[in-house]
Amino acid sequence: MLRTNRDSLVKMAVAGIVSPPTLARGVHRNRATGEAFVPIGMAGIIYNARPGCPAFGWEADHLEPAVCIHCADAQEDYALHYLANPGNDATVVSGEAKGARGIVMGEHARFIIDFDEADMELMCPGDRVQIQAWGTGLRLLDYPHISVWKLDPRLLDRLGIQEAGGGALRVPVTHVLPSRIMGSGWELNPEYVDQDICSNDPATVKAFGLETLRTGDVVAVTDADHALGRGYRKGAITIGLINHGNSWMLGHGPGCMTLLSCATPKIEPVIDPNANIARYMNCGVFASKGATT
Amino acid sequence: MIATNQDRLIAISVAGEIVAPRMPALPAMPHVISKDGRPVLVPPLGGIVYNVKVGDAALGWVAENVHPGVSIKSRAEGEHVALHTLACVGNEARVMTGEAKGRKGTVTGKSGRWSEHLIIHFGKETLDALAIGDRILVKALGVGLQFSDAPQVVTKNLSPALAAAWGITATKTTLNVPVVGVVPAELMGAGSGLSSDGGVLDIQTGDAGLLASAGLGDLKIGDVVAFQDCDCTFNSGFHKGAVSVGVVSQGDSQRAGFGPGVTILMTSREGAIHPAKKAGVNLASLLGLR
Repeated sequence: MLRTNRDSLVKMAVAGIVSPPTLARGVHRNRATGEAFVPIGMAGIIYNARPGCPAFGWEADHLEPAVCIHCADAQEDYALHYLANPGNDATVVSGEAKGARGIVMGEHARFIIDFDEADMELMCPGDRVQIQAWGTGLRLLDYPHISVWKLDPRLLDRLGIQEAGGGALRVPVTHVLPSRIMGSGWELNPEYVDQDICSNDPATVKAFGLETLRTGDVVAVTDADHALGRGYRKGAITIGLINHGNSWMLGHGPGCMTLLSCATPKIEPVIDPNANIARYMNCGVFASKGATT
Repeated sequence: MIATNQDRLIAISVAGEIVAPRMPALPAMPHVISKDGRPVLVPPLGGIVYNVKVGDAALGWVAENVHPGVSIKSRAEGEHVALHTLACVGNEARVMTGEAKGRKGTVTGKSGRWSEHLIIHFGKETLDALAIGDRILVKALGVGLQFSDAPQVVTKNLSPALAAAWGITATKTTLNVPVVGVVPAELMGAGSGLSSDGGVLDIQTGDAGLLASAGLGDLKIGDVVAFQDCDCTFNSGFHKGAVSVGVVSQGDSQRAGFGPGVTILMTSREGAIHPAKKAGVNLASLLGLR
């Protein structure tokens, strides 16, 4: 097991509500090719798509599978964003599903949490959900040149990371993507929300096998340094997590959160089609009956 | 002169006020974190900038994405969106209030997410007479501009005046567009996935070698550049074979993923733009700004 500072990390409660989907007046948005669509897929309770589902193929934009939560107070919402991490435990604390347990699976405009389908049947937008936030500040003690973002330490343990010697780590990933096809999210921080993969170009989708992406997949992005912000750096490598489904908007597509980043090629991606956090956490579409952890 | 549909476009009033520079409230630190990890305290976006104008260097200023000259926006949300969307590079601006009332300037660009300013050039004497809060009117003209011979080219933020002054020619349905250089897809940064009807697409400057090898090491504010494999038809983003062209509206940034912001002027998903490299293709000379 990789040595970390996990015993020094504070675990604290942050909370939000199940997000009602919202639409702006003039509801349409444009596809990259210009056609209008009504945005559906973000926020709310998604009954028929859970983490681990395909990222492509849905008649939905930025699909956030399972349950989304946010906080109405802007500063509490920032705390939710900066403190909660994939792999954290979540509990419903109000409403008919009170007591139901879930797992944080991603951070987008809202937090994406997987719950059992039976629990989702009982939930309602506005129900309060609390997360035991843990992982912000996580460091790899023997790999100070590799930064860690958005990871519950227990999820880090399940990523199948191997030590490769010479200060390098070997990480199973489903896809390796070049920095140049990354889109919306250069302007954001790796600690705050994902970066989309530009999927508007069919040739690029085919060239990098994007159509087989699943939410929950662990991927590598080459020549991408996410140590401080997100930037192009030759030889740098970032390990990401696919948090939401495809988008039809130009410069958008499946979302890629930042998990690990190194300014030099000291992370070696190893292709493994099963590298998916829903599989690792036994939840989402890969959940065994009756178990979510 | 290249043929367009400019006779069919509407010129309409939009307006805003000169914005004050803003810093984050306590207890936030006022620094930005540079890409090499240093906290740096630099002037923020906006205000009246007296000593940086179109035609000056884009790189090297101790500032974040410095806006040359004057930055305006409207505090009313709907008016702001109209101002930021309808005003085009090359449009005429007029001071409506204050000591510089009646003086004229020229729209030179826009800025991106988090600020969405309209950037305007005024002569030095006018700059000295302007005050934060002065109201500026822009005769917005250019949205919908179409080149008659190039149906696969979509214009953005482009005034007929700039289109006429630029030296564009057509070969069949492809436009030959003078630019100082071509930005490789790897250096497309902040602004990707965001609106191209306003806003900017940044040129990442973290790799000085790659920037220099693309002929962009001496980039100037006002320079016209092309982005290879970049579609800006609806938003901006990577698209193999697409070409977009814009004008450097702001200075460099010290943050990862950011750099000089480019206001997009035209785009072709089908690649019907041929960037014709030429030294000195800059708004200052094209529009006679001084």
